Amino acid sequence: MNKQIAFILAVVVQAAILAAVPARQVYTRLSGRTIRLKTAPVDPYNFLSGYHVILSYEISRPLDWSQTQHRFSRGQVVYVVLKPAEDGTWFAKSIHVQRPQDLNVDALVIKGRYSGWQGITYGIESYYIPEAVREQIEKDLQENARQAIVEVKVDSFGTAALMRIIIEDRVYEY
Amino acid sequence: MKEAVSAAFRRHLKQQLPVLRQEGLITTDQELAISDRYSLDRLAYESTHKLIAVIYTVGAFLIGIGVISFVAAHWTAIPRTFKVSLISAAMLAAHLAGYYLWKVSRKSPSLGHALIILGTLIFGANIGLMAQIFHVEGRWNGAFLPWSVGAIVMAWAVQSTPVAVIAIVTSFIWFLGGIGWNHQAGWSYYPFAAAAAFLPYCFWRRSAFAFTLSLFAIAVAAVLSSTGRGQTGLLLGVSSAAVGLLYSCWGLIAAGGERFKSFAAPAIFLGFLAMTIAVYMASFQKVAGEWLYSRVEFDNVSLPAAVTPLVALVVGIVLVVPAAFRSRTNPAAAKILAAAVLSFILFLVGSLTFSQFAFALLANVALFALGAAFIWTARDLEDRRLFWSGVILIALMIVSRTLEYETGLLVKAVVFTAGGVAIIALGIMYEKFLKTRRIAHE
Repeated sequence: MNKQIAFILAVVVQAAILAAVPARQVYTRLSGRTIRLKTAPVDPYNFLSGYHVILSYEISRPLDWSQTQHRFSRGQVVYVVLKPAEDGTWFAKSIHVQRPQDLNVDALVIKGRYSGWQGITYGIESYYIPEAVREQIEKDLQENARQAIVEVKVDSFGTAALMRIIIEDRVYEY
Repeated sequence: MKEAVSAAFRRHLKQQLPVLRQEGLITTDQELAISDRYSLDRLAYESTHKLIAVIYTVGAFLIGIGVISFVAAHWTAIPRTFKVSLISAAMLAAHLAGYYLWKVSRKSPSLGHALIILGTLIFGANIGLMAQIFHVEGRWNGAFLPWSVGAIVMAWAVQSTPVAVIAIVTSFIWFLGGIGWNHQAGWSYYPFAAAAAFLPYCFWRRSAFAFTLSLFAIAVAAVLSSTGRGQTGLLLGVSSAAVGLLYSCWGLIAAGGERFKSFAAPAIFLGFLAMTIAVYMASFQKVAGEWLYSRVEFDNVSLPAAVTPLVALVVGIVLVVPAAFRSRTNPAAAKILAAAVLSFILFLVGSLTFSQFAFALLANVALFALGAAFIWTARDLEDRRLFWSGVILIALMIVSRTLEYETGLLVKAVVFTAGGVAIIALGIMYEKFLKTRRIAHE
């Protein structure tokens, strides 16, 4: 009997680990606020790594980045205040090392990390895509790099989850 | 109590018994008694059983690799909820069917065990799949830690050594992938965590294979985590030598007892390997000089990076006493212990000097002591492998020194020729010695 309990417990532990893997993302997807971000060309200019698209955003190197980046050390957590622009996408208003309080209703905070040459990363830099559409998406991204918009959800903790990539009227969601 | 005999011996005995009976050396009753004593009638069943277990396990691993490749190929035509249900069901089905066949109905324990192994492999693949389905960011090695945790829990629950081996290997991959990417001080805790997670299982199940794998992972991690950015090169050598002393002493303690005798050989082997690497590296004047110079960096060493070598050092030194006690009646064990302690002291004294020449010289003496101890112990144990290990070690030392000090071609020619002649002469002498011993035994 004890052996059976031990086995059931082990299966429960494995199931709990599996559930914990996407828990953060699921919470953000369920509770987050949807915003749209403009992508920026990645450096080096290569969109594909194995089976995922590598993305970079305008907010990855926000404001006067070449001046401001020296304030941070590699791996440091930063909070970026975002505001909506007239075209419906969101842009970076300010960067903080402490989470800012008393925000305007139309602003929100996204949590990132200073990652050296990648600028600030938000955990939304790669998007898994199916093998069959790899080439199509890569071609579309290369030809319309400036038009690519990414829809993400941002929860109250500032965590972001990548929902879909939109290039003109084409929506890529997997 | 019956002593453990190998399957090969029993098979040979089974073939020989009818011959002995025909020759009139034993009676039919005696043949039956011997057959009964060694359960020879079970041989056919045992070998079939073993073969089936191996086939099932290989099959399970192949299916597991297939599942992992399937994940890599990325299947996106199916809706997300269905995907999650599918992968969870596959894992649960493998585990439940495995447990039923192995432990409940006991109809096919081998197949059941293989299914549990498969379930654990599917579990690992599922971690990657979950990350893919929900676009979780992370480095490739991130999935290996949760996989290892899930596997070791399952290994304990169903008492499966192959599953424990999966846990050890995946945790080691996680460590290597992590420390290779970012040499943070936190990785220094891995050897302790791995020891706490895996060694109790190895002792509980008396699995020498899982034990050897664990010791290897712990030793490599202990050495790697005390090197790299901001650390001093000398710590690498000290870690390796300290792990060498610790493993050798522990191995000798195990060899002197009954319960974990099978753990002794791998521990002593890995211990001597670690010790040899440390003294061999220091035997080069250039390395010895760099290591001595790196002491100026000691102030910058982070505490976690110093913890592993310190703990290995203290525990290793403490274990010398019980190891000496256990080895007092066994001349071979005493020689092995003396070689380990002597080379460790020489290395430590050398690392405290201010001359790279003195450090390298002491390391060379230590290397020679290790080689000489192997050859000497090989005489006691009549073990060819040990003898040749010692000879190769001393030859390696001579070749390295000759190449290091850029001597003229003529000197090199003399050294290599003399070395070659000496090796052949030693080999002939040892074989002669073994022959006279064999005659004396007979």
